[in-house]
Formats: sequence, C-alpha cells, structure tokens
Amino acid sequence: MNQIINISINYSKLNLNGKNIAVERFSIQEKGTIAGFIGTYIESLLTGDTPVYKPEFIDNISVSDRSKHPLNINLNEHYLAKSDFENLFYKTIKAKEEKYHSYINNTSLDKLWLLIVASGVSSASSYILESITAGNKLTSQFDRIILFDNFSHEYINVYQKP
Amino acid sequence: MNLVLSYQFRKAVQKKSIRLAVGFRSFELYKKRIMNLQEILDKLTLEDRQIVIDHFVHNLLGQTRGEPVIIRRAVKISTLSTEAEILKEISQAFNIPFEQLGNQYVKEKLGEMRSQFERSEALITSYKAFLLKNKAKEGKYEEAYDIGKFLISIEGEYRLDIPESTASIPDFIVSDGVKRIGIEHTRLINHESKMLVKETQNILKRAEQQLLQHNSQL
Repeated sequence: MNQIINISINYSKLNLNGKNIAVERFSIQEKGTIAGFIGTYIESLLTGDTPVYKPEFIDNISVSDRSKHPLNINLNEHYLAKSDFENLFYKTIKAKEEKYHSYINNTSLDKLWLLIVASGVSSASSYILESITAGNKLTSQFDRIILFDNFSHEYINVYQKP
Repeated sequence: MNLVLSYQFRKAVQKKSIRLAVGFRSFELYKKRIMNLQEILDKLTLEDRQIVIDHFVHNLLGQTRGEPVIIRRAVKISTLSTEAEILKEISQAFNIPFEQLGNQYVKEKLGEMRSQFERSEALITSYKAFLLKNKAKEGKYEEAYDIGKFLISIEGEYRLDIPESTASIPDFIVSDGVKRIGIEHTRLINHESKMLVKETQNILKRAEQQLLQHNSQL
C-alpha cells in the first residue's frame, strides 16, 4: 500500500560514533547505518511483525496510506520562526546592490525590482516578515524591493522609489 | 500533489485556537533549546502551551510584548484523502487531539491552493519549457515557481518574458503591456539550518530506498 510517513527528528539525540548530526557531518557509511535504524523501525511499524523499539532520535512518527508513491518518508520540521533576521536581510540586499549595474546593463527595462523570497515552511528560511518593516529606513538603487513569503503568498514592499 | 501544512502558534494573536496554513511548494536547526521546548510543548494542553511560550519569549528571548512569535510545524499530507481523513492525519502528525482541531475549512483551503497552483503554473509553463529545452539546473525551476507565486499575489497582470539564455540577468523580465520590469530574485536562507535539514532528508531517502529494496510488499 502506498504510504506517506511523516517523521520528526530530535537532532540533539541523533548521534553515532561520538558524532552529532548538528555538529559534524556523518560519513556515507554512517548515514547508511542510521537509515537502517529508521527503515527497520518503520518496517516493524507497517508490517506489525517483530516489534522494534523506536530509535531515541525519532520524536514523532505518523503514517498515511494515501500517497501516490509506493513509499514517501518525509521530514517534519518544527521550529520557531525567526524575527532577528535584520543582519541577513540587509546583507542580502547589499550583495544585490553591488551588482545593480550588471542587472541594468544591456536591457531596455523601465523598472528594476529586487524580489527577496523567504519560505514559511522551512526552518532554514522561516522569518517573520512584519518584523522587518518597523523603523526601516532603506534606500536603494532598485525601484522596488519586495519581501515575499512563497508559502503564504504574503508580501511586503520594503522599499519603493518615490 | 501532496500538501505541506504549516501549523502556526501565533503568540501575538493571543488566541487559544490553532491556525493551519495550507500551501504548496515545489519539492524542493534548530538549536537544542528549541527542540527541547518543542518536546515540552507537545506534552501540554493548548492553554498551558501559551503560558510556556509567553515565558520563553519574554524571559529567555527577551522580546517585548506585542512582538510576533510564531512556532511553525510542517508535515506532508496526501490530497487523496477525504476531509475527515485529512483531519485525522493532521491530528496524528501535529500531535494535536482530534477534537481540538475544530473546523479547519480543509476543502476551502484545498480549493484555494489548487487555484493558486493552476494560476501560477499557467504563468510559468512556457518559461519551464524553455528551462527544460536548455537543460537548466534545478535552482532555476525553484526560482520560476517563486516568480509564478509572486506574480499571482501582486496587483496587476503580468506576463513572463522568455529570455535569450538561462544565464540572462536580471533573473526575470515581466511586462504588463505597458512597462517592462526586470526582477532580480534572491532568497533569505540560513545555510547552517539548510545543511542540517538536507543531511537528514538524505538519510530518510536512503531509509526509503533500503526499505523498498528489502520489502517489495510495502
């Protein structure tokens, strides 16, 4: 039966050979070993055969049998959306400002916009859009700078040329 | 298409209800203290979660009252399920008692999501064909999905021009029939978190392959 398995991982408990995944990279062999632990546990869960203890690093697991694919193991993400992203935000804009003239060259453009995309669905790029707008005194060569959340489709005009 | 659901606990709203946001993404850590906080939150009632969040926000993060704090969770849910089955899956995946979920307007949200997806796809179909023809890298497709979602979200009607090459700059040129607008695309990304998630996804992919090889009846 086709299944989606959603897994929540506790990274602080994902250790092997004295390494922790958040601190050091695992070798290919070590990744294979951990994949084996996960696979064995899921197999016992799905077949109901020999019971296997849940590995300590698995926080939560849920199964749905309505997948289009034979098996789809999906990583759940749970995290605090970041509000302290000003530094990264301004650094990103600065890098693009420095290349502004290369964007404007050889084109017959009426306007040039900078689109900054954040994603509300990944811990790597989950930010609170509203927190950037307060006290923002941005000036730019771009005609418009927009901050866009590609999950919720919300956007904020962080700068617009007068 | 599978759904990605994001469960948000908005401190600033001060509501005891749960907001489930639904969206789609083109298939494309947190610090130990955050993970431990999540473990604690899972074991609490919704009301008690709010108290712990308040304490965490004001005493540990030092944020002032009124600043938004959002705890998000994302899981994958099949759209082949019925509304009742989807709610059951949400309950299991998010570890929230079924009776506390209430009406999540799943059918309406699904309809809205499909509509957004179709409108976005219609805008970028020719551009995607251009990328395919020119053997563009995966990253260019991700950018195309972003621009499609963006163009359906802003006011006005825009058409996406097909560039001469995949290396053209700025990344996109759109026109509204009167003006040609160049759009340079970039992302806000915490590379440390991204690497950790990617490594873990890689391990899960291996587990998936090993399982399918080992047990063909799954």
